[in-house]
Amino acid sequence: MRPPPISPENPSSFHDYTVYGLHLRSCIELPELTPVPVLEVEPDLWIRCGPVPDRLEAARTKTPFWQAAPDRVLIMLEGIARYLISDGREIVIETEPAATDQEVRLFLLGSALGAALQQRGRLTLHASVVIADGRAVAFLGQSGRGKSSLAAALAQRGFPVLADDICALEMRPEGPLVPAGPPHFRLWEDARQRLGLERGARHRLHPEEPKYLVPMAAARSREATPLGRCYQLDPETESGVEASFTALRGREKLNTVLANTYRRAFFEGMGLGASYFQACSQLAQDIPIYQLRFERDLGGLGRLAGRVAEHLLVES
Amino acid sequence: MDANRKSQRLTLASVVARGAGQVSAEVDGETLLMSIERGKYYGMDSVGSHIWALLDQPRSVGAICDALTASFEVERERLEVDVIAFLGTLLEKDLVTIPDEAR
Repeated sequence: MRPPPISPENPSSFHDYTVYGLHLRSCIELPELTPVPVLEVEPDLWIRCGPVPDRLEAARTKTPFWQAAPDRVLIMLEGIARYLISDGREIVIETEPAATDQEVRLFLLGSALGAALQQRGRLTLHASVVIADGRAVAFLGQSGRGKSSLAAALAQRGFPVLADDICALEMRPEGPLVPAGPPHFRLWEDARQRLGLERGARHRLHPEEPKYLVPMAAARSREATPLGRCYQLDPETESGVEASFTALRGREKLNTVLANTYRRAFFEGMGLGASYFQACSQLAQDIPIYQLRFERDLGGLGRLAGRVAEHLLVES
Repeated sequence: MDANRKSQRLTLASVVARGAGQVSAEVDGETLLMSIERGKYYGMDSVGSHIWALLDQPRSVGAICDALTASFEVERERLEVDVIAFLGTLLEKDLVTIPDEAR
C-alpha cells in the first residue's frame, strides 16, 4: 500500500529532507538531515512506519540480519526495528517497543538508506569527500581508517566537504558524480577535541561508543561535484612513518573499489552483481586512485592534512 | 582433486569458451573476473589477461598457445602445460566451458 499523497491540510505529518541528491519524505523526524520545505511533489524516497514482514518472499539471499530479493532488502535488528526497502522508492519501518529513536535512525540512515541508494543505481562507498579545484576527492576506507578526521582537518584548511563516511556515486556516462551527504562529520571524541570542533545538539551516534555528530557548518558544500580522484587510507601503527602516496594500477585499483564498497553484499544479494561490478570497473578505469600510507597519530593530523593538500595541488 | 581432473580433460584440440555466469573488466591491461553466481572475484596477471582477451570467441587450446607464442618468448612445451593448467582452474570455477563437451 502506498502512503497517501501529502495534503495541504495536513503538512505537519511529514518531514521533507534532501540527502545524496534525493528528496526524502519521512513520517519520523530526522534531525541528522537537512530539512527542505514540504513540497506538493512526489518525493524520490518515502520513509514511513508500518508493518514489516519477518521474511522476504523470493529471497535470493538470507542471513540472520537481512534478506534480499530483486529490488527488495529486508533488514532485521532484534530489539530495534525491521526495515523493508523497495525499488529505491520506499523504506517501511516497524520499530520494536524497546528501541530508542536514535537507534532506529542510526540504521535507517545507514544500511537502509544505503540499500535504497543501491536500488537507485548508486555506487555506495565507504568514503569521505572534499572538493579541491572544482573536483571531488574521495578518501576511501572502512571504519577506523581516519577518513572523517582527515576530511575535517582538510575542511579547516579551506576545502569544502561533500560527504562523510558514506558516499553515493551517481554513475554518469561523463563520469561519476558525488552528491552531498548529511551535513555532519562522524568523529571520535579524541579527534573532535584535537580539531577543536563543537558537537551538535543531537550528537551521540551510538549509546556505547564515544563517537559524535559534528556539524560541518560553513565547510559544507551542497553542490554535486564530478569525482576527480580517490585516496585509499592505509594508517600504520608503527611510529615515524612519513606520509607517502602511491598511484595504484590495474587489478589493485579495482580491488580497492570493491573492498571499500558500502554494504557490498546487498548488491550481490539483490542480483545486481553484474551492474555493480561494471560500475566499479568504470570507476577504476577512469579515476586515479592513490594509496596513502601514514602514521596513525592524532597529533600528526594537521601535518598529514598539509601533505595531502600539497599532493592535491602538485599531482593534478 | 577436482581441478586436476578437469584440466586432464583439456587437450590442445579442446575448444574453450567464456562461461555464462561471469563478467570481466580490464584496468591497465589487467583483468578481473566476477563470478555472478558465486559472488567471487578473480584477478589475472598480464599473461592470464592476455588469454582471457583471446577468449573473446571460442578458441582451441592450441590456437591460444599459437597466439601466445607470437607475443611472449617462452618455450612451447612449458607454455602448453601452463595454459592448460590455467584454463583448468578457470574451468573448475565455471569461468570457462568446453561447449563441445555438452553435446
